[in-house]
Amino acid sequence: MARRGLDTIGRVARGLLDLFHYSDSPLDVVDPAKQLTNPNIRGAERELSYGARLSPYGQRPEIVLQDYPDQSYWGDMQYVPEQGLGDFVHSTQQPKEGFYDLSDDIDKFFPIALEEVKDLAAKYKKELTPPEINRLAIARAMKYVKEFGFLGIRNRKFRPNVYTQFNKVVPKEVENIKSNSLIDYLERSGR
Amino acid sequence: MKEYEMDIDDIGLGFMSSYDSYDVEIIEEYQSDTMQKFYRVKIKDYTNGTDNI
Repeated sequence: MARRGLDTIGRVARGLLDLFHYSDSPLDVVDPAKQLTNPNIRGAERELSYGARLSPYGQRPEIVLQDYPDQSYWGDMQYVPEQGLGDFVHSTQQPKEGFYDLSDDIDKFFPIALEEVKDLAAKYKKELTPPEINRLAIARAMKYVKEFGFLGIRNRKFRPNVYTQFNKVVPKEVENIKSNSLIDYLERSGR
Repeated sequence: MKEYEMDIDDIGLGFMSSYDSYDVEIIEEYQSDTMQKFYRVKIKDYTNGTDNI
């Protein structure tokens, strides 16, 4: 943590946010499409990204509501990684204003998405439970955040140090946290 | 008002908890070894199916 602190003082001063992604192996690209393939994410949890068929079975064209955008997860400088996240840390820098704070949902993506999901369900006479409606509306709201050009999402209220990103990210640096120390850093940087 | 439980991730939790029409109580946080967190939540839903939230 101290090493990261030294390494980022200058960057913070320039207004960029340092973000870190953890994995069991080094990655050339952090690909959001791989997030839900993580073996630690169990079956029931994957269902969050599932869509819903609105048209009756056998009817063509098939209408499926499936809006969930893939996202990779990143922690900021204050994020404390839990055990099991992996020893390889991938870093990137992004402008903080590029992340949509859903704690405020200032653009009202969720209520808009919620009404649309209800309207579509009514149009196709599809009976959905309240949890299904909410799940589909959340996925649709996420899609709107992406379509509006945001880099990703943050949840300041519940997880203030975690950010998601929609696009593939080529890490600026990849380090094994078990093989580095503050002394290593100082030696490499000539300080 | 409808009351039900559902599974949700940290992003979904944030969206729903932003609105007064939902009273969200976290029952359990899943212990998956990922940065993405999952929750079992109890929802008190004050939308009536037609009203805007």
